[in-house]
Amino acid sequence: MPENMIDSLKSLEQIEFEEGRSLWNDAWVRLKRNRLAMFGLWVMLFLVSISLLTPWFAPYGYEIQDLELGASGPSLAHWLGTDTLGRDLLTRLMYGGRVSLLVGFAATAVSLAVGVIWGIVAGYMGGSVDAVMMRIVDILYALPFMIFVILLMVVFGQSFLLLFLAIGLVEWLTMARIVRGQVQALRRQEFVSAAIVTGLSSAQIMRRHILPNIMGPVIVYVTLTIPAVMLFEAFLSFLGLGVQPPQSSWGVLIATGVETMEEYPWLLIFPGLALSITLFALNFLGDGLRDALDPRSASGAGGVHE
Amino acid sequence: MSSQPILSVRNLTVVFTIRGQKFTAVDKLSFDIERGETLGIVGESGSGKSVSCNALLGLLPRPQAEITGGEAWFEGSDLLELSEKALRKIRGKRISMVFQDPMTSMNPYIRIGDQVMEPLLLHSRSTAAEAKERAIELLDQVGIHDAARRFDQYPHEFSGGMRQRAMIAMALITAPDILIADEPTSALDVTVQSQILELLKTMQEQRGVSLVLVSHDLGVVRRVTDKLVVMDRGVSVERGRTHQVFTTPAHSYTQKLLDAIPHTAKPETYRFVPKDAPVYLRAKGIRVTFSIKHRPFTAVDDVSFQVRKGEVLGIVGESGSGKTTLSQAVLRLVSMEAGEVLLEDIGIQKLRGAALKRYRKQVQMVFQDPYASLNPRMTVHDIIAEPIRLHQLAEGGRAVTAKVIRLMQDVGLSPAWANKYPHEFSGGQCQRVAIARAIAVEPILLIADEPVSALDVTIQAQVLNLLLELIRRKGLSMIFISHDLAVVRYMADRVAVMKDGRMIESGETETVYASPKERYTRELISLEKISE
Repeated sequence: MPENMIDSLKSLEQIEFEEGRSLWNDAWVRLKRNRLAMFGLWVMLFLVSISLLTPWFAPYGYEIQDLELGASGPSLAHWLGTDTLGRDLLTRLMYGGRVSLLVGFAATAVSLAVGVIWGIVAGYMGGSVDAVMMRIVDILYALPFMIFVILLMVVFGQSFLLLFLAIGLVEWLTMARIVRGQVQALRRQEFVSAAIVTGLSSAQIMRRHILPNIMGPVIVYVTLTIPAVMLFEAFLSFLGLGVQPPQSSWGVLIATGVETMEEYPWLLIFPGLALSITLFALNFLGDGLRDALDPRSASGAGGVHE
Repeated sequence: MSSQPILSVRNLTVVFTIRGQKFTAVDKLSFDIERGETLGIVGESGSGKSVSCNALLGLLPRPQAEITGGEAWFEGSDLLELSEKALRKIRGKRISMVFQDPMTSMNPYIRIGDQVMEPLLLHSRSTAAEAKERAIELLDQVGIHDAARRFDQYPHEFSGGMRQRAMIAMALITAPDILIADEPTSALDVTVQSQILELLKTMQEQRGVSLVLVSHDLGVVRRVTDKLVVMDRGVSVERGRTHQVFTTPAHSYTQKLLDAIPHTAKPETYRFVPKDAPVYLRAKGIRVTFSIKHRPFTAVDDVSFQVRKGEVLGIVGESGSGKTTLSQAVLRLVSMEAGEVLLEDIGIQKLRGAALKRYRKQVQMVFQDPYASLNPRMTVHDIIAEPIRLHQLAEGGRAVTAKVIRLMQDVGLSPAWANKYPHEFSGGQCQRVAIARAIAVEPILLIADEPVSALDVTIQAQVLNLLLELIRRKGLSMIFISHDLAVVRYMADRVAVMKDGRMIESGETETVYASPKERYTRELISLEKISE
């Protein structure tokens, strides 16, 4: 026994060297090795910081018009050109990005939080809890959501907060269904039985054993939801329910750009490019995160190496 | 016996490239097989036995796998050099295959009969009517009763054994020269296993087919094959006539394989339970009922047993006998319809909150599939630490880690691996982690459900001995569940036999083994003795 003790003390020191190694630490290490995902992360950070600093950085005011100039192509004074009212496109893109990114992230966060929790509880508890929870989802699915959103707007008036809420409340339904399906498969795995036998409560099992194992599909779905939400916002704005002129968003800029596509293509190209870049960056980041959070994936091997 | 071999494999080498690293899965494998002969390829998982068969039929996963050398002569052409198109004419017609799992190798959406006659329609000019007639004839020959009616059924309406019979009919319908059977009985129950082997042997003799039987199970190979190749990590370490290899193995690995299966009674050193040892667990009249498609199905019916301190109770039975459900009832993973379970005279059904948590600390479980029973996203340290933290068996991170290290040493794992994830371990090592987690809470009763059946034979013995050693050192009691009579005999002081949800026989292990009362028990024991 004394020998044993010495052994364990010795190895204890070895292990402490690496202590604190957890899934999240490991995931970060793995993510850092994935160049494409890191590129995506940097692009997103860049876009977010521009949005945050726009009021101090923007070359013009978003509502300043120059009717004499009208629509003009990219020039030294207006890097990305101006729209039909002579407003600087770069400025409007920067201000629009604030709206689009905020709506995209906030609404997705709402749907993520509600959908994941709802799906985990329904999937894990099963039985009548599951039946009731999923019927609620079915009923909400069946509601024509445009009418639902319009009703909300009519009752509560127009506010930005309501926009997040409305979009988030619609988007969580799909998330809940995806998560529930995953959880149902996981619940039958032996490690969940092992956790029950160990004496963990249902809440502990859901948090420690179920949640980390559904991150893959959830992250992929989130990266798809953010751009979808941005376009959804454009649609709501088009109906007059989202942001109102002279404010703008990428979605609104694209929608107006389409109308004058043949005469002034840059009005479509630049907002489209902004959205595409965001989408690409998010996809790279999402793929990288999914791989990074799965210890079984090749350590550090991302899209670049494969 | 010196006729021309029908298939002659020389120096077959297969290299896999995984994440830029190359490893040789099959290294210069050579063998011959003559018409009407049966060849066994034996080895543990990862020995390259399935890979070599798949290589012959061009079924290797591309581009990871590459055949880097060798030849395989079949009727004057080298199978390894043939184009995919030419190979397709041989595959399924001249050389056909039976796979391991009849559950997954049949398409669940297509009728059995249509699947059986498909190869014939593909490879010959038979009309559908002729093919159907032929298929029914063959289904009848492989022992499917009422084949004409069964023809129109779907795979889920067949039992595992019947599906495997249908697979064999499907493989034989084109009258192939060679039949490759890759672990054809591993997914089946022991009594069914023996029927399927019998069938393969008869079919092979009647039709003069050459049979290549790939298996990890020495008992199976010994019963059926004329000669065999023993593979270890891609290399064929021994070749020869089956009888000869079994009586005088030349290579140490073959010897190790032969020694690995315990065919003995429980070692004396581990038999120490006094007759008056106190009873820990008492189960009375347990009944568990499930509803399957709204019909009640009784999985466990009126089962009673008891486990004394320091005792190992073995429960034997085939799949569907209710042995796993019984263990789940004891662990309160499923609810009982009737009966009661008492641990140290306290009923467990109504336990809640702190009392239930205390019960969870007293009774622990080791599961069958070592990979599925460990959360893939937790490190081994965290997996073992979880019950320690939950039951507050150590204070502070350092003390928890120290305890984890001691447990890892107890089960024979190097503490240096504490920060690895389950997928970085082999199956046997994962099972050790699962055992460490189970004993972390210092339970008094350990339930082990088929703890070694997913492991390789040489690893099985190690894990069994580890369990016996832990029981002795820590004074545990254990319920040991298995379909494998030999393993139960090696482990258990007392044994109980289950069939169709009932416990049909129980008693001291050696007494039951020497003079079984029930016909079913006798059948199990005789099957066991054949493979010994």
